[in-house]
Amino acid sequence: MIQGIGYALYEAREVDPRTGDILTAGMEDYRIPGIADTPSIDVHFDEGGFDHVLGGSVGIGEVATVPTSPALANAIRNATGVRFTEIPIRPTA
Amino acid sequence: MTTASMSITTQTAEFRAAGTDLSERRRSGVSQGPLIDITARPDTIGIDWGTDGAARIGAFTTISAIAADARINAAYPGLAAAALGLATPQIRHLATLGGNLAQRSRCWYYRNPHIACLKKGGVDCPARGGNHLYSVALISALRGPASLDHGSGAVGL
Repeated sequence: MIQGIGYALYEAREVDPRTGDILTAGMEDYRIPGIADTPSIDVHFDEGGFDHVLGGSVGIGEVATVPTSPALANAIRNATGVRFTEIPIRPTA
Repeated sequence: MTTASMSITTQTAEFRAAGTDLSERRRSGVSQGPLIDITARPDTIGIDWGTDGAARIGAFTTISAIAADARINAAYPGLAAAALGLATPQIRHLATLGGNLAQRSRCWYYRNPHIACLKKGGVDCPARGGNHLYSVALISALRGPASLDHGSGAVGL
């Protein structure tokens, strides 16, 4: 989910518009959430409904990461009335 | 030292104090010239207070010392907050105020070893017409390009 916060609010590969050179070449410019960007998170495990999966096990990586950015976009819409349809959503967007 | 002294006149040598930023530019190859290590005189470390209540901070005072100073926190809370927000605890412990003020541009064109620019002996400033997501390129006819990080989200948390 923290990775999803990164998708939603910080991570972007920036390139030079003329040459295509990668400008976000390090962790200073390719920004990801830090501790203070990360709220306390309640995690709910939905343990049922996977009987059709062989062995009953399911992955959790993408399932937790991908919906986080639309959830944040919905929260921003709810708080501000503005609907953003591209990520990352920045204060300057 | 003779070589280094000569290089100062041709502006290819760099001074190194704590080296927290310089080390990264040496590794990337952006900084390749001779280095001149400078060490602190006692009068360049610490914070003095004038009778008017103004602080005089020595160039070799560390960023962590500024952030932790109670009187700085009371008199200059913005300075203390900026010092506390800089980089990481390890870097704040070594980095000096003088080095922070004198450090090279944070421009991502300048800092990319694969991109030529005026500050590295190139013939133009790619930042001028380039991507300014986190910065603004200021061009001075006398001093060449400078890139100022406007800092949104730049504080390491």
